[in-house]
Amino acid sequence: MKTSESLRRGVSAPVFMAIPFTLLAPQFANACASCGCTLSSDAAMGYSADAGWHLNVEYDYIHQDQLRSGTRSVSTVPDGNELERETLNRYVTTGLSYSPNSAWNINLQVPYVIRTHSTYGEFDSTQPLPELSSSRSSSLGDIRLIGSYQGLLPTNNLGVQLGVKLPTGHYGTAVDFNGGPNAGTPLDASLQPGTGSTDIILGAYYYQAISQDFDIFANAQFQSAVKHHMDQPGDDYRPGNSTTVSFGLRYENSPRLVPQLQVNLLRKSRDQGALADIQSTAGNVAYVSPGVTARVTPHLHAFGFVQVPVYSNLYGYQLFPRYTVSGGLSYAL
Amino acid sequence: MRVGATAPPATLVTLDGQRISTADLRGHVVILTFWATWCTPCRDELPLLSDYAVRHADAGLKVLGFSLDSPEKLEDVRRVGQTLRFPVGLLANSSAPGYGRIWRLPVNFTIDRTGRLVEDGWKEKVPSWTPDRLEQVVTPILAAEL
Repeated sequence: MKTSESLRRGVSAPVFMAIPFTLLAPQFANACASCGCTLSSDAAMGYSADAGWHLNVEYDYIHQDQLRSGTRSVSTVPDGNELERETLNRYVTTGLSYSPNSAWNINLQVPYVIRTHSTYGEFDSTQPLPELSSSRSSSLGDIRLIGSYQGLLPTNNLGVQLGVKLPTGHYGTAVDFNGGPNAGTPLDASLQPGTGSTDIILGAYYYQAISQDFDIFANAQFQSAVKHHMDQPGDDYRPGNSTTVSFGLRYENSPRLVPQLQVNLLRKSRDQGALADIQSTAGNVAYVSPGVTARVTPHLHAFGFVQVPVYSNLYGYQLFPRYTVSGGLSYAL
Repeated sequence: MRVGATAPPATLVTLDGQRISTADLRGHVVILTFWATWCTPCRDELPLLSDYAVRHADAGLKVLGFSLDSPEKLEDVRRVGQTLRFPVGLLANSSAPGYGRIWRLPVNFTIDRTGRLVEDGWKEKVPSWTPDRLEQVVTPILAAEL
Protein backbone atom coordinates (compact mmCIF):
# COMPACT_ATOMS: atom_id res chain seq x y z
CA MET A 1 0.00 0.00 0.00
CA LYS A 2 1.02 3.60 -0.31
CA THR A 3 2.86 5.32 2.48
CA SER A 4 0.92 6.88 5.29
CA GLU A 5 1.98 10.27 3.93
CA SER A 6 0.31 9.63 0.61
CA LEU A 7 -2.74 8.34 2.41
CA ARG A 8 -2.95 11.55 4.43
CA ARG A 9 -2.85 13.52 1.22
CA GLY A 10 -5.96 11.68 0.12
CA VAL A 11 -4.33 9.63 -2.59
CA SER A 12 -6.15 6.36 -3.04
CA ALA A 13 -4.73 3.30 -1.37
CA PRO A 14 -3.93 0.22 -3.42
CA VAL A 15 -5.38 -2.85 -1.83
CA PHE A 16 -4.49 -6.52 -2.15
CA MET A 17 -4.39 -9.33 -4.63
CA ALA A 18 -7.83 -10.85 -4.52
CA ILE A 19 -6.58 -14.39 -4.94
CA PRO A 20 -8.59 -16.95 -3.10
CA PHE A 21 -6.01 -19.06 -1.36
CA THR A 22 -2.48 -19.85 -0.48
CA LEU A 23 0.10 -22.54 -0.86
CA LEU A 24 3.42 -22.28 0.84
CA ALA A 25 6.54 -23.11 -1.04
CA PRO A 26 8.44 -26.37 -0.96
CA GLN A 27 11.66 -24.64 -2.06
CA PHE A 28 13.84 -27.71 -1.86
CA ALA A 29 17.47 -26.86 -1.77
CA ASN A 30 18.89 -29.64 0.27
CA ALA A 31 18.93 -32.63 -1.95
CA CYS A 32 20.84 -31.55 -5.01
CA ALA A 33 23.48 -29.04 -4.09
CA SER A 34 22.78 -25.70 -5.73
CA CYS A 35 20.10 -26.83 -8.12
CA GLY A 36 17.06 -27.24 -5.89
CA CYS A 37 13.58 -26.19 -6.73
CA THR A 38 13.36 -22.52 -5.96
CA LEU A 39 9.96 -21.77 -7.44
CA SER A 40 7.81 -19.72 -5.11
CA SER A 41 4.59 -21.70 -4.99
CA ASP A 42 3.23 -19.15 -2.54
CA ALA A 43 3.30 -16.54 -5.21
CA ALA A 44 2.30 -19.03 -7.89
CA MET A 45 -0.98 -19.68 -6.18
CA GLY A 46 -1.41 -16.21 -4.78
CA TYR A 47 -1.06 -15.04 -1.25
CA SER A 48 -4.31 -14.75 0.59
CA ALA A 49 -5.94 -13.37 3.68
CA ASP A 50 -8.80 -15.85 3.51
CA ALA A 51 -9.44 -18.03 6.54
CA GLY A 52 -9.88 -21.78 6.32
CA TRP A 53 -8.18 -25.02 5.34
CA HIS A 54 -6.38 -25.80 2.10
CA LEU A 55 -5.05 -29.09 0.82
CA ASN A 56 -2.27 -28.87 -1.74
CA VAL A 57 -0.34 -31.28 -3.90
CA GLU A 58 2.73 -30.21 -5.86
CA TYR A 59 4.95 -32.10 -8.28
CA ASP A 60 8.48 -30.92 -9.10
CA TYR A 61 10.64 -32.40 -11.83
CA ILE A 62 14.34 -31.57 -11.76
CA HIS A 63 16.57 -33.42 -14.18
CA GLN A 64 20.22 -32.60 -13.57
CA ASP A 65 22.05 -33.79 -16.63
CA GLN A 66 24.41 -30.91 -17.33
CA LEU A 67 27.80 -30.83 -15.65
CA ARG A 68 28.77 -27.29 -14.72
CA SER A 69 31.56 -25.51 -12.89
CA GLY A 70 31.67 -21.82 -12.14
CA THR A 71 29.53 -20.08 -14.72
CA ARG A 72 30.00 -22.55 -17.58
CA SER A 73 29.18 -26.07 -18.60
CA VAL A 74 32.01 -28.59 -18.71
CA SER A 75 32.40 -31.98 -20.32
CA THR A 76 34.68 -33.54 -17.77
CA VAL A 77 36.37 -33.00 -14.42
CA PRO A 78 40.03 -32.92 -13.35
CA ASP A 79 41.56 -36.21 -12.32
CA GLY A 80 40.67 -37.19 -8.80
CA ASN A 81 37.22 -35.56 -8.87
CA GLU A 82 33.98 -37.46 -9.06
CA LEU A 83 32.47 -37.50 -12.55
CA GLU A 84 28.71 -37.64 -12.13
CA ARG A 85 26.40 -38.39 -15.01
CA GLU A 86 22.89 -37.39 -13.98
CA THR A 87 20.42 -37.03 -11.16
CA LEU A 88 16.69 -37.07 -11.69
CA ASN A 89 14.68 -35.64 -8.80
CA ARG A 90 10.92 -35.87 -8.57
CA TYR A 91 9.18 -34.47 -5.55
CA VAL A 92 5.54 -35.00 -4.68
CA THR A 93 4.69 -32.68 -1.84
CA THR A 94 1.41 -32.82 0.01
CA GLY A 95 0.57 -29.71 1.97
CA LEU A 96 -2.09 -28.85 4.48
CA SER A 97 -2.52 -25.27 5.56
CA TYR A 98 -4.86 -23.62 8.00
CA SER A 99 -5.63 -19.95 8.46
CA PRO A 100 -7.74 -19.27 11.54
CA ASN A 101 -8.07 -15.65 10.43
CA SER A 102 -6.61 -13.22 7.93
CA ALA A 103 -3.41 -12.72 9.93
CA TRP A 104 -2.17 -16.22 10.74
CA ASN A 105 -1.41 -19.32 8.75
CA ILE A 106 0.20 -22.63 9.59
CA ASN A 107 1.39 -24.88 6.81
CA LEU A 108 2.56 -28.49 6.87
CA GLN A 109 4.50 -29.84 3.87
CA VAL A 110 5.18 -33.53 3.50
CA PRO A 111 7.47 -34.35 0.57
CA TYR A 112 7.89 -37.72 -1.05
CA VAL A 113 11.23 -37.92 -2.87
CA ILE A 114 11.83 -40.09 -5.91
CA ARG A 115 15.45 -39.90 -7.04
CA THR A 116 17.70 -41.71 -9.46
CA HIS A 117 21.39 -40.95 -9.68
CA SER A 118 24.31 -42.24 -11.67
CA THR A 119 28.02 -41.57 -11.46
CA TYR A 120 31.27 -42.82 -12.97
CA GLY A 121 33.02 -42.32 -9.66
CA GLU A 122 36.48 -40.85 -9.39
CA PHE A 123 37.77 -39.71 -12.77
CA ASP A 124 41.16 -40.78 -14.08
CA SER A 125 42.00 -39.52 -17.57
CA THR A 126 44.59 -42.24 -18.03
CA GLN A 127 42.00 -44.95 -17.68
CA PRO A 128 38.85 -45.81 -19.67
CA LEU A 129 35.62 -44.55 -18.10
CA PRO A 130 34.52 -46.98 -15.41
CA GLU A 131 31.12 -48.60 -15.42
CA LEU A 132 28.29 -46.42 -14.12
CA SER A 133 27.13 -46.82 -10.56
CA SER A 134 23.48 -46.03 -10.04
CA SER A 135 20.90 -45.65 -7.34
CA ARG A 136 17.17 -45.33 -7.17
CA SER A 137 15.30 -44.34 -4.06
CA SER A 138 11.82 -43.26 -3.23
CA SER A 139 10.75 -42.40 0.27
CA LEU A 140 9.50 -39.75 2.62
CA GLY A 141 11.62 -36.61 2.66
CA ASP A 142 12.02 -33.94 5.31
CA ILE A 143 8.77 -32.46 6.58
CA ARG A 144 8.46 -28.72 6.93
CA LEU A 145 6.16 -26.79 9.24
CA ILE A 146 5.90 -23.06 8.64
CA GLY A 147 3.88 -20.44 10.48
CA SER A 148 3.11 -17.13 8.81
CA TYR A 149 1.91 -13.86 10.28
CA GLN A 150 0.59 -11.20 7.93
CA GLY A 151 -1.14 -8.89 10.35
CA LEU A 152 1.55 -6.22 10.20
CA LEU A 153 -0.49 -4.10 7.80
CA PRO A 154 -4.27 -3.74 7.72
CA THR A 155 -4.16 -4.90 4.12
CA ASN A 156 -2.49 -8.18 5.20
CA ASN A 157 -0.05 -8.02 2.32
CA LEU A 158 3.18 -8.08 4.31
CA GLY A 159 4.02 -11.31 6.05
CA VAL A 160 6.77 -12.92 8.07
CA GLN A 161 7.44 -16.62 8.41
CA LEU A 162 9.03 -18.86 11.00
CA GLY A 163 9.34 -22.54 10.39
CA VAL A 164 11.20 -25.72 10.97
CA LYS A 165 12.38 -28.54 8.73
CA LEU A 166 12.45 -31.85 10.52
CA PRO A 167 14.80 -34.81 9.89
CA THR A 168 12.03 -37.18 8.85
CA GLY A 169 13.64 -38.48 5.65
CA HIS A 170 16.33 -41.15 5.40
CA TYR A 171 19.72 -39.51 5.77
CA GLY A 172 23.42 -40.11 6.12
CA THR A 173 24.21 -43.54 4.75
CA ALA A 174 20.68 -44.95 4.69
CA VAL A 175 20.33 -45.30 0.91
CA ASP A 176 22.94 -47.29 -1.01
CA PHE A 177 23.93 -47.49 -4.64
CA ASN A 178 22.06 -50.44 -6.07
CA GLY A 179 23.82 -50.90 -9.40
CA GLY A 180 27.35 -50.85 -10.81
CA PRO A 181 30.69 -51.16 -9.07
CA ASN A 182 29.56 -49.07 -6.07
CA ALA A 183 26.47 -51.21 -5.41
CA GLY A 184 25.99 -51.69 -1.69
CA THR A 185 27.95 -48.60 -0.72
CA PRO A 186 26.16 -45.54 0.64
CA LEU A 187 24.95 -42.78 -1.63
CA ASP A 188 26.33 -39.27 -1.03
CA ALA A 189 24.79 -37.60 2.01
CA SER A 190 23.46 -34.75 -0.14
CA LEU A 191 21.58 -37.24 -2.33
CA GLN A 192 19.79 -38.99 0.50
CA PRO A 193 16.05 -38.26 0.79
CA GLY A 194 16.67 -36.25 3.96
CA THR A 195 19.51 -34.26 5.48
CA GLY A 196 19.31 -35.56 9.04
CA SER A 197 19.17 -32.00 10.24
CA THR A 198 16.65 -29.83 11.99
CA ASP A 199 16.59 -26.53 10.17
CA ILE A 200 15.14 -23.21 11.11
CA ILE A 201 13.34 -21.32 8.37
CA LEU A 202 12.91 -17.56 8.37
CA GLY A 203 10.99 -15.76 5.68
CA ALA A 204 9.13 -12.67 4.62
CA TYR A 205 6.86 -11.74 1.74
CA TYR A 206 5.09 -8.76 0.29
CA TYR A 207 2.57 -8.42 -2.48
CA GLN A 208 0.74 -5.51 -3.96
CA ALA A 209 -1.70 -4.65 -6.70
CA ILE A 210 -0.14 -2.01 -8.90
CA SER A 211 -2.90 -1.62 -11.45
CA GLN A 212 -6.23 -3.10 -12.44
CA ASP A 213 -4.45 -6.02 -14.09
CA PHE A 214 -1.06 -6.43 -12.46
CA ASP A 215 0.30 -7.46 -9.07
CA ILE A 216 3.86 -7.58 -7.93
CA PHE A 217 5.30 -9.77 -5.22
CA ALA A 218 8.58 -10.46 -3.52
CA ASN A 219 9.60 -13.00 -0.92
CA ALA A 220 12.71 -14.29 0.73
CA GLN A 221 13.44 -17.36 2.81
CA PHE A 222 16.51 -18.38 4.76
CA GLN A 223 17.11 -21.92 5.95
CA SER A 224 19.85 -23.06 8.29
CA ALA A 225 20.51 -26.32 10.12
CA VAL A 226 20.51 -25.74 13.87
CA LYS A 227 20.90 -29.38 14.85
CA HIS A 228 22.11 -32.40 12.93
CA HIS A 229 21.94 -36.07 13.82
CA MET A 230 25.27 -36.86 12.21
CA ASP A 231 27.53 -34.91 14.46
CA GLN A 232 30.27 -37.38 15.34
CA PRO A 233 33.80 -36.61 14.14
CA GLY A 234 34.41 -38.54 10.96
CA ASP A 235 30.73 -39.27 10.59
CA ASP A 236 29.17 -35.85 10.45
CA TYR A 237 27.12 -33.98 7.91
CA ARG A 238 25.51 -30.60 8.02
CA PRO A 239 23.73 -29.15 4.96
CA GLY A 240 24.78 -25.68 3.92
CA ASN A 241 22.58 -22.67 4.56
CA SER A 242 20.36 -21.59 1.72
CA THR A 243 18.72 -18.29 0.90
CA THR A 244 16.04 -17.94 -1.74
CA VAL A 245 14.67 -14.68 -3.04
CA SER A 246 11.83 -14.50 -5.53
CA PHE A 247 10.03 -11.60 -7.13
CA GLY A 248 7.68 -11.28 -10.02
CA LEU A 249 4.61 -10.04 -11.74
CA ARG A 250 1.12 -11.54 -11.98
CA TYR A 251 -1.38 -10.64 -14.69
CA GLU A 252 -4.77 -10.53 -13.01
CA ASN A 253 -7.02 -9.59 -15.90
CA SER A 254 -9.07 -12.72 -15.30
CA PRO A 255 -9.24 -14.67 -12.05
CA ARG A 256 -9.74 -17.82 -14.13
CA LEU A 257 -6.29 -17.69 -15.68
CA VAL A 258 -3.41 -15.79 -14.13
CA PRO A 259 -0.16 -15.81 -16.10
CA GLN A 260 2.90 -14.74 -14.18
CA LEU A 261 6.61 -14.42 -14.39
CA GLN A 262 8.93 -15.09 -11.48
CA VAL A 263 12.61 -14.54 -10.97
CA ASN A 264 14.06 -16.97 -8.43
CA LEU A 265 17.46 -16.49 -6.86
CA LEU A 266 19.20 -19.10 -4.75
CA ARG A 267 22.37 -18.79 -2.73
CA LYS A 268 23.57 -22.04 -1.22
CA SER A 269 26.59 -22.33 1.01
CA ARG A 270 28.80 -25.41 1.29
CA ASP A 271 27.69 -28.55 3.07
CA GLN A 272 29.96 -29.36 6.00
CA GLY A 273 31.28 -32.50 7.62
CA ALA A 274 33.21 -35.63 6.81
CA LEU A 275 30.29 -37.04 4.77
CA ALA A 276 29.77 -33.82 2.83
CA ASP A 277 31.02 -33.00 -0.62
CA ILE A 278 32.35 -29.72 0.66
CA GLN A 279 33.86 -28.68 -2.64
CA SER A 280 30.82 -29.12 -4.87
CA THR A 281 27.74 -28.10 -2.92
CA ALA A 282 27.71 -24.31 -2.99
CA GLY A 283 26.68 -21.81 -5.59
CA ASN A 284 24.53 -18.94 -6.72
CA VAL A 285 21.74 -19.49 -9.21
CA ALA A 286 19.09 -17.37 -10.96
CA TYR A 287 16.03 -18.73 -12.71
CA VAL A 288 13.37 -17.08 -14.82
CA SER A 289 10.11 -18.90 -14.32
CA PRO A 290 7.06 -18.30 -16.49
CA GLY A 291 3.86 -20.01 -15.47
CA VAL A 292 0.14 -19.86 -15.11
CA THR A 293 -2.41 -20.40 -12.38
CA ALA A 294 -5.92 -21.52 -13.34
CA ARG A 295 -9.18 -21.66 -11.44
CA VAL A 296 -10.57 -25.09 -12.20
CA THR A 297 -13.57 -24.73 -9.92
CA PRO A 298 -14.32 -22.12 -7.25
CA HIS A 299 -12.56 -24.40 -4.73
CA LEU A 300 -9.86 -25.93 -6.90
CA HIS A 301 -6.91 -24.14 -8.47
CA ALA A 302 -4.01 -25.48 -10.48
CA PHE A 303 -0.67 -24.08 -11.51
CA GLY A 304 2.15 -24.98 -13.85
CA PHE A 305 5.60 -23.45 -14.19
CA VAL A 306 8.82 -23.95 -16.05
CA GLN A 307 12.05 -22.71 -14.51
CA VAL A 308 14.84 -21.80 -16.85
CA PRO A 309 18.25 -21.12 -15.33
CA VAL A 310 19.67 -17.87 -16.65
CA TYR A 311 22.73 -17.68 -14.42
CA SER A 312 24.68 -20.10 -12.30
CA ASN A 313 27.97 -19.83 -10.52
CA LEU A 314 28.68 -23.21 -8.99
CA TYR A 315 31.57 -24.21 -6.79
CA GLY A 316 33.37 -27.37 -7.80
CA TYR A 317 31.66 -29.60 -10.34
CA GLN A 318 27.92 -30.01 -10.08
CA LEU A 319 25.13 -31.54 -12.08
CA PHE A 320 22.66 -28.87 -13.02
CA PRO A 321 19.23 -28.88 -14.72
CA ARG A 322 18.61 -27.24 -18.08
CA TYR A 323 15.07 -26.54 -16.88
CA THR A 324 12.71 -27.64 -14.16
CA VAL A 325 8.96 -28.22 -14.22
CA SER A 326 6.53 -27.69 -11.37
CA GLY A 327 2.80 -28.22 -11.19
CA GLY A 328 0.30 -28.21 -8.41
CA LEU A 329 -3.27 -28.32 -7.23
CA SER A 330 -4.82 -26.58 -4.28
CA TYR A 331 -8.25 -27.33 -2.87
CA ALA A 332 -10.06 -25.11 -0.42
CA LEU A 333 -11.74 -27.42 2.08
CA MET B 1 -17.53 -1.10 -18.60
CA ARG B 2 -17.81 2.17 -20.46
CA VAL B 3 -19.14 5.60 -19.57
CA GLY B 4 -22.42 6.13 -21.42
CA ALA B 5 -23.17 2.41 -21.63
CA THR B 6 -25.44 0.44 -19.32
CA ALA B 7 -23.72 0.11 -15.97
CA PRO B 8 -22.75 -3.41 -14.88
CA PRO B 9 -25.18 -4.80 -12.33
CA ALA B 10 -24.25 -4.76 -8.66
CA THR B 11 -25.98 -6.09 -5.58
CA LEU B 12 -25.22 -4.95 -2.06
CA VAL B 13 -25.99 -7.30 0.81
CA THR B 14 -26.25 -4.94 3.74
CA LEU B 15 -25.01 -5.68 7.23
CA ASP B 16 -28.56 -6.56 8.26
CA GLY B 17 -29.00 -8.92 5.33
CA GLN B 18 -31.03 -6.74 2.99
CA ARG B 19 -30.27 -7.16 -0.74
CA ILE B 20 -30.22 -3.96 -2.80
CA SER B 21 -29.63 -4.36 -6.52
CA THR B 22 -28.86 -1.59 -8.96
CA ALA B 23 -31.40 -3.19 -11.27
CA ASP B 24 -34.10 -2.30 -8.74
CA LEU B 25 -32.96 1.31 -8.53
CA ARG B 26 -33.88 2.47 -12.02
CA GLY B 27 -35.16 6.03 -11.79
CA HIS B 28 -32.61 6.83 -9.10
CA VAL B 29 -29.13 8.21 -9.36
CA VAL B 30 -26.86 5.63 -7.75
CA ILE B 31 -23.36 6.04 -6.37
CA LEU B 32 -21.42 2.85 -5.70
CA THR B 33 -18.65 3.56 -3.26
CA PHE B 34 -15.96 1.04 -2.35
CA TRP B 35 -14.16 1.58 0.94
CA ALA B 36 -12.50 -0.10 3.94
CA THR B 37 -12.09 0.72 7.61
CA TRP B 38 -8.29 0.90 7.19
CA CYS B 39 -8.46 3.26 4.21
CA THR B 40 -7.51 6.71 5.44
CA PRO B 41 -8.91 8.71 2.49
CA CYS B 42 -12.19 6.84 2.95
CA ARG B 43 -12.55 8.29 6.44
CA ASP B 44 -12.71 11.76 4.94
CA GLU B 45 -14.86 10.79 2.02
CA LEU B 46 -17.55 8.68 3.71
CA PRO B 47 -19.00 11.40 6.00
CA LEU B 48 -18.99 13.78 3.07
CA LEU B 49 -20.85 11.30 0.94
CA SER B 50 -23.24 10.55 3.78
CA ASP B 51 -24.16 14.22 4.21
CA TYR B 52 -24.61 14.61 0.47
CA ALA B 53 -26.82 11.52 0.34
CA VAL B 54 -29.09 12.93 3.06
CA ARG B 55 -29.36 16.32 1.37
CA HIS B 56 -30.25 14.79 -1.99
CA ALA B 57 -32.34 11.82 -0.95
CA ASP B 58 -35.53 13.54 -2.05
CA ALA B 59 -34.02 14.07 -5.48
CA GLY B 60 -33.63 10.32 -5.83
CA LEU B 61 -30.01 9.74 -4.82
CA LYS B 62 -29.03 6.32 -3.54
CA VAL B 63 -25.57 5.48 -2.25
CA LEU B 64 -24.44 1.88 -1.77
CA GLY B 65 -21.29 1.28 0.27
CA PHE B 66 -19.23 -1.85 -0.43
CA SER B 67 -16.62 -2.53 2.26
CA LEU B 68 -13.54 -4.51 1.33
CA ASP B 69 -12.92 -5.46 4.94
CA SER B 70 -12.70 -9.14 5.76
CA PRO B 71 -15.66 -10.75 7.57
CA GLU B 72 -13.67 -10.86 10.80
CA LYS B 73 -13.68 -7.04 10.77
CA LEU B 74 -17.46 -6.99 10.66
CA GLU B 75 -17.80 -5.15 13.97
CA ASP B 76 -15.46 -2.41 12.78
CA VAL B 77 -17.47 -2.12 9.58
CA ARG B 78 -20.67 -1.99 11.60
CA ARG B 79 -19.28 0.82 13.76
CA VAL B 80 -18.41 2.90 10.71
CA GLY B 81 -21.69 1.98 9.04
CA GLN B 82 -23.66 3.30 12.01
CA THR B 83 -22.23 6.76 11.38
CA LEU B 84 -23.36 6.75 7.75
CA ARG B 85 -26.77 7.53 6.31
CA PHE B 86 -26.55 5.06 3.46
CA PRO B 87 -26.50 1.27 3.47
CA VAL B 88 -23.20 -0.58 3.67
CA GLY B 89 -22.18 -4.21 3.43
CA LEU B 90 -19.18 -6.41 2.82
CA LEU B 91 -18.11 -6.81 -0.78
CA ALA B 92 -17.29 -10.42 0.13
CA ASN B 93 -21.01 -11.04 0.63
CA SER B 94 -22.14 -8.79 -2.21
CA SER B 95 -21.67 -8.80 -5.95
CA ALA B 96 -20.15 -6.26 -8.31
CA PRO B 97 -18.08 -8.29 -10.77
CA GLY B 98 -18.46 -5.94 -13.70
CA TYR B 99 -16.51 -3.19 -11.98
CA GLY B 100 -13.26 -5.08 -12.17
CA ARG B 101 -10.81 -5.96 -9.50
CA ILE B 102 -11.03 -3.39 -6.72
CA TRP B 103 -7.32 -2.82 -6.51
CA ARG B 104 -7.25 0.58 -4.82
CA LEU B 105 -9.48 2.54 -2.49
CA PRO B 106 -11.59 4.54 -2.47
CA VAL B 107 -13.18 4.13 -5.84
CA ASN B 108 -16.65 5.31 -6.88
CA PHE B 109 -19.00 4.77 -9.79
CA THR B 110 -22.07 6.86 -10.62
CA ILE B 111 -25.12 5.55 -12.47
CA ASP B 112 -27.83 7.84 -13.85
CA ARG B 113 -31.57 7.36 -13.66
CA THR B 114 -31.62 5.33 -16.87
CA GLY B 115 -29.04 2.88 -15.60
CA ARG B 116 -26.14 4.24 -17.62
CA LEU B 117 -22.70 4.65 -16.16
CA VAL B 118 -21.86 8.35 -16.02
CA GLU B 119 -18.73 8.33 -13.89
CA ASP B 120 -16.01 5.67 -13.87
CA GLY B 121 -13.84 5.89 -10.75
CA TRP B 122 -10.99 4.01 -12.40
CA LYS B 123 -10.56 6.92 -14.79
CA GLU B 124 -10.31 9.55 -12.03
CA LYS B 125 -6.84 10.71 -11.07
CA VAL B 126 -8.07 11.75 -7.61
CA PRO B 127 -10.92 9.36 -7.03
CA SER B 128 -12.10 10.61 -3.61
CA TRP B 129 -15.24 12.66 -3.60
CA THR B 130 -14.93 16.30 -2.61
CA PRO B 131 -17.80 18.75 -2.16
CA ASP B 132 -16.86 20.42 -5.42
CA ARG B 133 -16.69 17.17 -7.35
CA LEU B 134 -20.05 16.05 -6.01
CA GLU B 135 -21.58 19.35 -7.10
CA GLN B 136 -19.95 19.19 -10.49
CA VAL B 137 -20.59 15.53 -11.26
CA VAL B 138 -23.64 14.31 -9.35
CA THR B 139 -25.81 17.38 -8.77
CA PRO B 140 -26.40 17.98 -12.51
CA ILE B 141 -27.37 14.35 -12.96
CA LEU B 142 -29.82 14.63 -10.10
CA ALA B 143 -31.31 17.69 -11.74
CA ALA B 144 -31.97 15.80 -14.94
CA GLU B 145 -35.35 14.16 -15.35
CA LEU B 146 -35.75 10.55 -16.43
